Amino acid sequence: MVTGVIETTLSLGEWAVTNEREGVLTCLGLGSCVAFIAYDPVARIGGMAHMVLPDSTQGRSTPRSEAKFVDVAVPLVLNEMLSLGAQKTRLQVSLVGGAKMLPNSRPEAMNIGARNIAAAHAAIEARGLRVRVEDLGGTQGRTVRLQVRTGEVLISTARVLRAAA
Amino acid sequence: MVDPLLGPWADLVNIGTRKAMAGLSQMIGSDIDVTSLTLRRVPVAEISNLFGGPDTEAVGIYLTVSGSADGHLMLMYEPKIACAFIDMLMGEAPNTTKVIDGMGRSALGEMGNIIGAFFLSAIADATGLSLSPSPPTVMTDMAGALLDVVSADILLTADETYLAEATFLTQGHDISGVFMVMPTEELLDALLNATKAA
Repeated sequence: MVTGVIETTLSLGEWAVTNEREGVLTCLGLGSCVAFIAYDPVARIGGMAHMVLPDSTQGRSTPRSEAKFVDVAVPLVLNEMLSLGAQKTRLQVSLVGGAKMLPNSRPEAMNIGARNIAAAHAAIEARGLRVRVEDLGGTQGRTVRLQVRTGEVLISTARVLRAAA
Repeated sequence: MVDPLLGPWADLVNIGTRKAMAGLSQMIGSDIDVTSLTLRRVPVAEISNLFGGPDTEAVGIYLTVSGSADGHLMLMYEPKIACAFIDMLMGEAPNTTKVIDGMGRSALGEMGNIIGAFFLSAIADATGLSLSPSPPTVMTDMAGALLDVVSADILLTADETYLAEATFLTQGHDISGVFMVMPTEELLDALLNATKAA
């Protein structure tokens, strides 16, 4: 976990919670990965996880990428936020990512993005939370930032690819 | 601790890469010199830094591998390198291609076909395994998003993968690029078992 840094960029399987007013939590270049984002607008506590895979029972957890599985990441972030003073009833939850980066070449069962989205929705609903903002699916990568001071969730995609001058 | 996979996989990557570049030389009718070839074990999360970071634009050519073992290969390039490749493949003067259009994607796909077929055929010959590449998918997007295609499979059980990087030069076009191969754990296991049995 990373705390107290102005901009915290989360790599694959990383998570962070912060109450730093000027803090920004960021996931860069999400493809099939999904960012789980939670925010308490009163306590101004933000949390984010860069989730890679849907289900920890299908793989092996590792210390370096503790939050790579959706079913592990969501409770990690929520529990830490609550321990810092966030209240569950105030939480605003967002989900971003889950793209299908190979639109035509794999069977639907292998669509990791769709499975990550379904697992994230299930994990959120199981805790009685509702998604406020979501930008999910499609075939494009995304970058997402949470500004802790405002709770604003900023999403961007790659511009049209051009050769470097 | 000595990594038991590094030696056998390095040998196979060496053979495969040189064959792949020989195949590409035939395709373009010009020599391609492999000037360096390195193999290292790297955290999957750090690979996108080779391209300037996870949200930096990159071009990926992705192939699945089937046969004795399933896996996938990803070739990734900075856009300027991909454009230089397109110039080379299309017989254009250097710095002609500025935008990767449909024709450019097709050319890169054909390059993926050649590299994949020659690379896997060389490894199959050395190990006795049957390995076939799928048709390639050419993608342009953020490097991190492209890498998700292979990262998810690798991260299922591990945090690191083998990254093969070849630097090569072509006459006339003077491009220096990186050819990356990232095998899955299943494919590596099959190759290691095959080399032990050989």
